[in-house]
Amino acid sequence: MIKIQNLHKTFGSLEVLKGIDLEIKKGEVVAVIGSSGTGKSTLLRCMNYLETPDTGSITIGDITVTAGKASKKEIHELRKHSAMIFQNYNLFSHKDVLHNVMEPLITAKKMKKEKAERTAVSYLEKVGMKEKMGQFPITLSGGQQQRVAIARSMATEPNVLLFDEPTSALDPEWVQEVLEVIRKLARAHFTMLIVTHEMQFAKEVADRVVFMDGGKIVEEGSAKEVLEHPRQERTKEFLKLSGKDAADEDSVEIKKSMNFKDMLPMFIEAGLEFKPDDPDPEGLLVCFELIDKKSGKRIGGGSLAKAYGEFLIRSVAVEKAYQGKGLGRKLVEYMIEEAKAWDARRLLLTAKVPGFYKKLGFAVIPREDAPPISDCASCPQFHNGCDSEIMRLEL
Amino acid sequence: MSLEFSFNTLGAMVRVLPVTLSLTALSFAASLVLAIIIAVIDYFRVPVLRQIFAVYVSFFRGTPLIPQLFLLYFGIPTFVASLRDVPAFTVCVAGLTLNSAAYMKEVVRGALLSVPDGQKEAALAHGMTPVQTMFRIVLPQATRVAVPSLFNNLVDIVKGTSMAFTIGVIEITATASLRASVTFNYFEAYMVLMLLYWVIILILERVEAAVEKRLAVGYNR
Repeated sequence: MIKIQNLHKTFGSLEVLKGIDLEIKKGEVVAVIGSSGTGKSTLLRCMNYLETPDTGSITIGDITVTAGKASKKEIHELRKHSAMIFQNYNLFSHKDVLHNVMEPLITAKKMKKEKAERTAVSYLEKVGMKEKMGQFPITLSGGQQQRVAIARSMATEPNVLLFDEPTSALDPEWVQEVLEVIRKLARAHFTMLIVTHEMQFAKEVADRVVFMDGGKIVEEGSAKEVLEHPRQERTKEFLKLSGKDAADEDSVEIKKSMNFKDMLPMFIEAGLEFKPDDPDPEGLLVCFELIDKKSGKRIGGGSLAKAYGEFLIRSVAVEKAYQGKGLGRKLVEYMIEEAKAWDARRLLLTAKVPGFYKKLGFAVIPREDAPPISDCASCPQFHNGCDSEIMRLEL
Repeated sequence: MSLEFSFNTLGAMVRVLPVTLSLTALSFAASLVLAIIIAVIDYFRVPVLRQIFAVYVSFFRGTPLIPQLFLLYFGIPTFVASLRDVPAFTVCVAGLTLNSAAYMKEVVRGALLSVPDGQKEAALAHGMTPVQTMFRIVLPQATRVAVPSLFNNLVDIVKGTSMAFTIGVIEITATASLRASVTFNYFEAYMVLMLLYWVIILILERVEAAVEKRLAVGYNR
């Protein structure tokens, strides 16, 4: 049903795809895994000619397009045979949810307005977004936008759905709702090609897993074969690395100390307003060090202080390589418990990323109402425009 | 200060106001169409045409309006006899159009580029043609971005119509200065004239606010 033969793609002098051959049967779910920059997304984007391949041919359903000989009409026809779900959703910002789904139906499928609307509504229902039909994309969460994007693609009833890292741009809290929709599609036997970094998910939904490295398919087979019993060295290496990468909550511990000075470079690295020779913050109560159990390395930390009669979170940082795994959240939750143990009634902080703390229950308070928790006049940022919010959590 | 003179002048100006307004409307409409055509040619990188229009834009942005009008009205007809009988009004519309389209093309081009590539890719990836993508996804969103700057161009055109007087079109500036030179009431004549321009532009500002509000649908949480 889908057949890719000897696909090559070069960007400048960089050869991104070095001869890809792949077949997908009707109703099959294929997951493509591999490190960044191995050509996974390019492969997907060549399949609908968002990138023009140099050589090779692509067959989807009843149309075959050969690189170098493809006419505009053929490319358009090929595109009508697939639909793509993007990392950044790419909904049309000037159209509401309903019209986002209707748009390709009216233009590409030449449906009458009434039929397009009926079709769009039924697909929005499938992804649980019917209630938000009249809303504009900007008012939706990332997860909701991605579900609408999936409905838009499904509604065109393509031969294959192409997923380009559908959960990579999502906040962790929205990932599951999107994966759930995709699971449902898999159960309904939609033909899908999914580029993903979610190994667990790939194992669960994919009939077949393709491992790509250096622009080639290195290994392919059933999800179980490839992910649990890989044959190729490169696959084993990648899975080992991505396993370590998945260092989750259980592999770290939080240690209390007074080592603020030791952690200063890390805070500065994280962009907090400190200088290398700063003294301990006023009223420092305790520091928290986030330690990777396996290596014993400190990968994050924070500090709690009491000044001006208020309990303050003075600094929170997690090293770049370990971000996005809920470690910051774990750290701050721990600090909140600690503050409670000190009989704190409320907790204040100045935040550069208020969104993060909002999820933990903190609320932004107007600067005028804030107690004098930080001395603005002495802050180096003061004259350059303050970029932080003061936030409060009632305990 | 002569109030009577002021009122009479205002009356005379209001009678020729349709000239100023039609010069504005025609020039703005024509330059918008021209600007969009050139911007789209630039956007799709159409060879040859793109280079030709680049020279045109550079020339008309790099030279003042009055010489442009003089060249069109007095200069070109000396070579092209068939253009000798074109009325000053028409030449003025042509001049204002060529002049402001050169500025507006950049505004439109910037607005087209402001629409995220991802949305265009999404349109194409769902089987829309490049033309459908342009008209249904890119242009509507570009409009929102372009409107504030295009109103600036419109205001410039309103004021630019005062140059029409230099090639003999009797619009409001011509009326004011003719009347002033007869009675020497220069202060009143030009003050009333400027207030009249100001009122026109105040009304346009109101229109702009309403249009912007309408186009903001979908962009505010």
